[in-house]
Amino acid sequence: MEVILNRLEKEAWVRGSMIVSNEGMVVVERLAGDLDRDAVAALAGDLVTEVAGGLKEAGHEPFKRIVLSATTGDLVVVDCGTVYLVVITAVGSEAFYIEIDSAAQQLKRLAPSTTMRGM
Amino acid sequence: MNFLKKLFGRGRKAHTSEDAPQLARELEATVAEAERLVAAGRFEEATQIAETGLKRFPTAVRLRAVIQYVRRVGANKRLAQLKKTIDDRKDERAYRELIAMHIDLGNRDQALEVAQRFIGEFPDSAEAHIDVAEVYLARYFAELFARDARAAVESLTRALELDERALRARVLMGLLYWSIGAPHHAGNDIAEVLRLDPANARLQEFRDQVLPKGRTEAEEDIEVLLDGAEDRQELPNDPSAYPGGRRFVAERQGGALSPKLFAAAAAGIGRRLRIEQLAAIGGGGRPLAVAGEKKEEFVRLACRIDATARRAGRHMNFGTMRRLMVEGKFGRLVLVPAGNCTVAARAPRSVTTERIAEGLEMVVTASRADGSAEEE
Repeated sequence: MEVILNRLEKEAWVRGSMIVSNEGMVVVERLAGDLDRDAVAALAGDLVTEVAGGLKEAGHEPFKRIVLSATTGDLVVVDCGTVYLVVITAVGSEAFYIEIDSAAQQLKRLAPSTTMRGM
Repeated sequence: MNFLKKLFGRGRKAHTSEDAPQLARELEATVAEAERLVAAGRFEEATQIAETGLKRFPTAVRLRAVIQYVRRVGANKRLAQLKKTIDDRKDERAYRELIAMHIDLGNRDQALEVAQRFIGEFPDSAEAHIDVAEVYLARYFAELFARDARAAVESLTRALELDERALRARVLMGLLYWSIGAPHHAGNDIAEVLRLDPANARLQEFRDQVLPKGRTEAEEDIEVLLDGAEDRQELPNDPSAYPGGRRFVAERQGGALSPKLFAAAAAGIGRRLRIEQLAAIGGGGRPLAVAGEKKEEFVRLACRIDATARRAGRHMNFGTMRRLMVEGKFGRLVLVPAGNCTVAARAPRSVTTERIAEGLEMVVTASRADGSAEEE
């Protein structure tokens, strides 16, 4: 998992990334100095819980990806089975998603889907 | 018959139901032509078509949306000119016009970006610090996050350090204090302005007639008042009652979204962009309007996600939210803040996030059309 984050870290547009378990625990992270590890984890956890809960309540399938775009960049959360990949980018562009999706695919192979839909 | 009235406007020659198919086709063709011209970048012709069409179909939401879209594009040209000017040389006037335009267009983040650059180039200019404060105030009155008000006070204080006679700084300080329910604080700033500018009739009238009637707290603890307004998502006093305050609250007060127009715009624009569900959520998570299938479920989902996104914006130093996109087998769900509300839409995954966001912008623009359209 660390290798995947290390690879992402090399991208100029990545400010940080982390892998969060479906219980909201940070498994591993690579964050730039100005990013608060706990704040990012809390934000990602909150987003995942509320979005997943809301979708379930509305009778929808679970989400695959969340992108929160803000003035200073994007926060991207991708469902990778038993874990979530969280990436903070410097500037928003859907072109980056290819790299993020590639990392997510690798993570999915490492952490195949189990029973994580009860949020 | 109501449908005909809505489609063809009031006070015009009554149409019979036999006319309807022909006129509907005519309207559709006019809209299609106007939108085709917009897509081709032929804005002037698109406006002409839309204006002519509106004479015949006065409440046609999609034609109105075309005109408003073109106006925005026109403003963008001026913005580009000003941006080029400040890139080429240090020009205080260009900076100020650019910031004011961004504020008026509701581009608060861009306004802040320019204002901060303005300060970088003119660090000792009280006016630059006041412009930054204006941007924070515009954002504060739109979103009511206390941190923006605090930032505005900080910038105004700095401006007054640089120039203690900076009247605009005191006027703005008074505006903020009045709005959050601290008329005593506001009164002090107003008194100082009137001492330096005794002929200011509007401020005098405000001090004598409006200020004493404002809601106030026994103790004017600014921090407590700011937190209270943020929690309630409501200001005790109407900022537009303050001289010059209307400019900052136009989006919140005058930009009320009409549920009727929203439904009409959602039907037209939504169908064209294949948006299946749309909702508008007001401050405090109150549903304002909803369109499409399974309205209740969708509005509940949108409200829940909106609340999360707002919390995220408040607690995370990540800048202001521009939009939130959720993707899954259900399609794409996009939420976009739009001044005093958030709008949400769901569309198939084949529709890009940009396209959905653009559709939402058009629906909101059309839903905030002027009063004549509200008469339907």
